[in-house]
Amino acid sequence: MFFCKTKDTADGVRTLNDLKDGEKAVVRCLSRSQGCHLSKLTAMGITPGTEIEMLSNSGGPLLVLVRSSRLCLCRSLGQAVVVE
Amino acid sequence: MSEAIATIALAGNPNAGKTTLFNALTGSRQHVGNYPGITVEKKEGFVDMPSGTVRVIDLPGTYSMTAYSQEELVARDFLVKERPQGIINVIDATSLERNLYLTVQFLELGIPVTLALNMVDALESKGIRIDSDRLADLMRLPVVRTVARSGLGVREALQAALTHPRQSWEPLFISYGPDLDPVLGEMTKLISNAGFLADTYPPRWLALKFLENDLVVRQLFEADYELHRRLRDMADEVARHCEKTLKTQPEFLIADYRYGYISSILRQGVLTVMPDLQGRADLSDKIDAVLTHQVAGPAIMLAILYGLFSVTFTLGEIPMGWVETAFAWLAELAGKMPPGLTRSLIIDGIIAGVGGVLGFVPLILIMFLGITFLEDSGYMARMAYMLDRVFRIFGLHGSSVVPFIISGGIPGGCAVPGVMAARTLRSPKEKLATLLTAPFMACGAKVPVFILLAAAFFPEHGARVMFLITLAGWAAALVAAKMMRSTIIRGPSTPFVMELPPYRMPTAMGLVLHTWERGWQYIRKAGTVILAIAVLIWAMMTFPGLPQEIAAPYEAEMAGIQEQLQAETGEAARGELEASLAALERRLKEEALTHSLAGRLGQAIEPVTAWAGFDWRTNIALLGGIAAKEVIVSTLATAHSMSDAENTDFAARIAAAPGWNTSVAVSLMIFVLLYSPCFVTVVAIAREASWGWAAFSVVFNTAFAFALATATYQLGMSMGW
Ligand SMILES: Nc1nc2c(ncn2[C@@H]2O[C@H](COP(=O)(O)OP(=O)(O)OP(=O)(O)O)[C@@H](O)[C@H]2O)c(=O)[nH]1
Ligand SMILES: [Mg+2]
Repeated sequence: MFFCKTKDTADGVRTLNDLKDGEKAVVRCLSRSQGCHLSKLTAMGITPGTEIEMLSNSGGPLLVLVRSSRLCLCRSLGQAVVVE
Repeated sequence: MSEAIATIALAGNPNAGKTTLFNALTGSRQHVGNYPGITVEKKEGFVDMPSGTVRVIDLPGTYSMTAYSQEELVARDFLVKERPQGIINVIDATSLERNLYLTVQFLELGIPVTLALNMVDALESKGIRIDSDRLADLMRLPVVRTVARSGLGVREALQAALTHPRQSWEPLFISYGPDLDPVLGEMTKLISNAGFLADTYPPRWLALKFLENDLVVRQLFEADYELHRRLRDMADEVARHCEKTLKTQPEFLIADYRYGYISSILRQGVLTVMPDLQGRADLSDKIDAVLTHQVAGPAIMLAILYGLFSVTFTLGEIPMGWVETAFAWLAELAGKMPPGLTRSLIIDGIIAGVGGVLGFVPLILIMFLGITFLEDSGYMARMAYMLDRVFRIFGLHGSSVVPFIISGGIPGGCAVPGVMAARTLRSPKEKLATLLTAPFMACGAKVPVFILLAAAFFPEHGARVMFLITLAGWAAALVAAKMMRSTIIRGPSTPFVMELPPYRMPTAMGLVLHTWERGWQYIRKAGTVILAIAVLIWAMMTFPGLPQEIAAPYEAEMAGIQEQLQAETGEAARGELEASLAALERRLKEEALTHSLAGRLGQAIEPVTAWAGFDWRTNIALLGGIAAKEVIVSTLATAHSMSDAENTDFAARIAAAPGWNTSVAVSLMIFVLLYSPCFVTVVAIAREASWGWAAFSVVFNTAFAFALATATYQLGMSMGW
């Protein structure tokens, strides 16, 4: 439900990029740094409060399972998704 | 077509099975594939129902009604501008919640929606149960369970859409909570009082889109300065408010309420998920663990590509021999005709030209079968995922992979749909770079040139040559993209997100149909466009005919030999005479070709093309290739049959022709791979970008190709190949 300011994500906060393979987490908020591209993420099912599972995180684009579909997203978008 | 009683559009998320359903309904054969974003243009079909003929429209898939990319705009514009009587919202039942997000937006727009709960055959293995009657009750719309792939329920879905209880447009009202509802109400009142776009959009929908920062809708409002200003002030105000009190943005709040509305429905016994069957047990994940493995994945990808070529060449050789024999027989048959222009037209123009292209049909079909398998199984999307990492370095991203593959990244594609597939790229810069480099791929029309030259100069290594050419196409595209992205289309890379479809076992029927569809297009093109161009080029290679004063000495000499031949009886002497007669005939043909319009054109640019090792005959073929790449092979065939009397194998003829060697062959392969896109592709680029960029692609690609070909040829010659 929350939308964080960029400074909130600066340190100590975990983003999608920090999840290890097979790890599950809940999306806390989306940080604005990526602007309007985030609304595509919401349309594809990544909204605050959703459970998200990391399928593969090996340096390249991320592969996640969300609302029973597999999404592949680049790391700059992953950086914008704050999880807990 | 008789008057349609209603128009029903098929809409929904990408890869939900809309086109499959469309094909099942209308009996047409539109392209279906297992990755999101196959359909980029709307397609129309007609279905006979008991109550009359219905016009059905297949739309590109979209995730939301906020237009992100061009093909999504196509879908939205169709719905609001043409206002169909209703839509069948095709839903991938295995991801119901996400799919309904779009449904809610359709309902808010007011269109009468019929849900086609598609892919219900896949529910069981996923441990999902859906109560469709309850869903229908709660959402107050017809729900039909379908398996589009086998045609189950598709007519029922259309029938339900025709007899929808709501026959007019009527927007659904959803509450967006205490923070947004008041301002939404005010904005709605303002818009409806102004009567702004009253006959296209419901006012509340416009207000919502305004809050969601929809660029297209905001642009619409710029027509009314005062209204726009007031709405903007209100939107800014509520955005500030949301930020301060909720630390969120209106657009996320809206998304949140929509998902809330959906889950409130699904929770009432509509969706049951059996947890023990869910999760890691999924087969797709298991396959992915191997196929997209960080190290093994790319290796497997290359192995698959290489395997595809090996199989193609091993299997394809046999039927290719049959087709060649058939055309040789035809040529022999035609050879019985009296000599003259007509015979030359039939043998040198039509049979050599069209036959040169059709001879490759068996190979192309096998290649198409391979691509179709990769596409239908879901592997293509994985290639995009794996290559994203590499592509990023060159200023493109994973979404560019699919246009490349369609263009011939796996040989056999075509750059025209490839260029159109670039529409799914949201960012204009990456899209442009993709558009301009996709024609570098080895499309089905170029493949014959490579096969021919490989057979002539690298016999036994066809598969390997094809493999290297393919990689060369990708490498050139990446390098050129990097060049452009760091000069004329510079800019930061834009984020990339794509859905990976589950692996599906392609059905045998589907494979055969798609392969045949592609193959038939190739054959039809050979029989129509290529035939016309082949005849045209034959004419250019025949006229103007040789003037009498040049032809006469030859003819006189030939007549002399003929006479001697009649008188001579000795075996050895006869052979000698016949040989010199044939040589004379060849020289006469050569002389005639040199003298023709095409010959003169080819010679005019020979001084330049000689740097890359191309003689004037090759030049004719390359010029023709700008019209359509198939013409290269057909023209080479015609040129060599017109100046060569011996009726040996085409490849052997090329290999033996004067001025040809390995360096020339390699240089020509590179040039053909990379030079100017064919005419139809140029038009497609103009449509997707602009005529300026289309012209650029002609000049740039040709220059790029020529530079590389020249370098290769010069290097090859200095090495003595
Ligand atoms: N298991 C199963 N697969 C299906 C069904 N319907 C379609 N498919 C498969 O789903 C994939 C996508 O089908 P398409 O018809 O291309 O999907 P689309 O909605 O037109 O996709 P876009 O054009 O990209 O928006 C294909 O691989 C189909 O074979 C079904 O009822 N069951
Ligand atoms: Mg489609």
